[in-house]
Amino acid sequence: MNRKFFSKYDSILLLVIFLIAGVVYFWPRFFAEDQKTVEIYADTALVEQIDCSQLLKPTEYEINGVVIEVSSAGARILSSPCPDQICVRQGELRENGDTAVCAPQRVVVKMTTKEKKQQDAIVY
Amino acid sequence: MMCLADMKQKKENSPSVPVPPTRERQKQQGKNKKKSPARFAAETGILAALALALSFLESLLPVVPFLPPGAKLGLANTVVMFSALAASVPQTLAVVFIKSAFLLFQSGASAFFISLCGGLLSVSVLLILIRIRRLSVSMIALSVVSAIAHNIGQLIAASILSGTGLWGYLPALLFFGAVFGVITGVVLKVLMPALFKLQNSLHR
Amino acid sequence: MHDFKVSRINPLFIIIPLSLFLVAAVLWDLVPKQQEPIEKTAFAMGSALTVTLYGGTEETADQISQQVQLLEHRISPTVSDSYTSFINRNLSAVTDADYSGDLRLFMEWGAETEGAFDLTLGAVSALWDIGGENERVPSEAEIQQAMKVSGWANLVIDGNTVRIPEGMQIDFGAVGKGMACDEAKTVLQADPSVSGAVVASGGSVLLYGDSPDGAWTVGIQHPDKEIGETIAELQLEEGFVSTSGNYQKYFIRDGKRYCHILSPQTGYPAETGLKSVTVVADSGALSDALSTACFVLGYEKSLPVLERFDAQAVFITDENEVIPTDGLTDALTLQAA
Repeated sequence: MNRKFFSKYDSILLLVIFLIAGVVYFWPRFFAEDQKTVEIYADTALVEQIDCSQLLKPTEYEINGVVIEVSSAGARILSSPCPDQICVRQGELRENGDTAVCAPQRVVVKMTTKEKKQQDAIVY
Repeated sequence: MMCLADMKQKKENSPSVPVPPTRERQKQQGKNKKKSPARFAAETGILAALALALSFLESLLPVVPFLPPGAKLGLANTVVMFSALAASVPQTLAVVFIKSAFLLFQSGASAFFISLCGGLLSVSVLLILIRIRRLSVSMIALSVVSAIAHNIGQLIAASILSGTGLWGYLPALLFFGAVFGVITGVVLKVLMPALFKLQNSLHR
Repeated sequence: MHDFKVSRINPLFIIIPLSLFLVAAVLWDLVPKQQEPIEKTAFAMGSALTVTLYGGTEETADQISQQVQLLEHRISPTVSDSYTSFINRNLSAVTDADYSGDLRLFMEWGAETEGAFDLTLGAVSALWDIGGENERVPSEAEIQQAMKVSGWANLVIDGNTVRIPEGMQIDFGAVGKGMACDEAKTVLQADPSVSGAVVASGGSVLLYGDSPDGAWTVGIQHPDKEIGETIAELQLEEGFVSTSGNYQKYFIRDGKRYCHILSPQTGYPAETGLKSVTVVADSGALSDALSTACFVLGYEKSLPVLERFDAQAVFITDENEVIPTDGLTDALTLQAA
């Protein structure tokens, strides 16, 4: 058995493998698309979960009479039968944690992205 | 699946086309000019049984937590490597196949498929590397590369079966493939004399 | 392979540090980071109740919304079997000690804010019905009529018995959401596994425990922009934050804007040159009550009141000027316009 047990190139081979493993590990971090997920809750139960990046054109959803438009950029409540219309004034949800609530119709629309939440809460 | 086709070709070609003899081959061919079918079967059987025994032995080892699925020490791989180095190509393929086929009865078809893909990719890489004389790949390198090829083959099979890309496991499988490859390489080095003895004992 | 010997730089000098670095980076990355918080949204007190827990369990989050709903069933005038509804209907009721105790405390707060904080204006706000279906500008006579039976002076608390004159309506709108935050804090204190939490009930927020980022960040709604757009940010420790603003509920008639915060003096929407007041205090009910009171009082008159209650505030004037009290100057960051 004359085959060498260990050659000096083996250490390079092992290091290169570790290198590749490391690169592969971090690869998706740098090239992952900005993932945006819109969750729609009715009476606190999740009824719709929409991946924004999969949407080619804006889509409308109607939950408890509340009309929600979801596009690749974000989501907004278009109309609601509630009297105060606070949810409609919420405007477009774009960033992580942005939430539109229609309390009278018990509908919550929530945006989730991979980015970090900027504020823990907003007082209004 | 490509590799499977390659292997079939090789299988047919290897007896007719003379392969430039490696050092191992010279040694082996020097000892026995022709292998009788009985000897072929006996040798293959012993090697396969050894591989299965080692698999079983490994399953007795305590479970290491946090290991990703598929990352195993792969002690049975030492026998496959020995076959690739010291026995014929059909014998080596037979060992790989029997090792996987045992899983078919033990854990079902998908486990068999995953194991077979890993085994075939691993063994083809092994057989090719052994035959590249100029590189004279060391045993540790052979062991590491075949372990990683085994993991990648399993990953491909599992991806096909599950229909989703499981590439998140790749870094871990590369890393553990390298680490366990070194370990099995050392184990093979230790077992090598005993394995040769076993092979030659059939000759008496 | 021969290249190794020819090349000047041994590739090992690049590969070894690089792979060591990568392995270290992966290991660092694999160390469990702060876990994802538990987030739950429920509906209570006429608005959404958002609970964000760091540590703790789903049960704790659910318990918070249960407790807040229980509170709503005790104090909300829109729940027909609440103490408040009962009093409003029957003009007197024997309540439990908590209810009468709270009401007595709020009455004291009313006195200490020169009547700017008043829970007895239900009849007047019903006339305006701002944010409701019958929004209108009531006649002067109607307002005077309703004002006559409203006001803390007309409410009598005798032991656990609460009595009101005919026509008065008690409304917890100005403290309810803050009280919900107080309830939440009580629940959280019973679960030691919670390291930090944010509970938002409408315009009131409870900041509990430690933020994983060191300090909690609370945005203050921009009065003229869409909900969710902030004008300033506060970096805060544990505490309660509430905002009252003229943009929350309002209607516009003949070019004039009528907001839902009524002045207990006049019975008309409060106009004191402010668009909103955000109050930071040690109790949810207090921060909620003071934000309303300060909005009614205006900037100058609010300062002594805030001092008396040891609370801090951020005022936003009609000109969108952001004025913090001394204790919040360092915590405040203005957002780019």
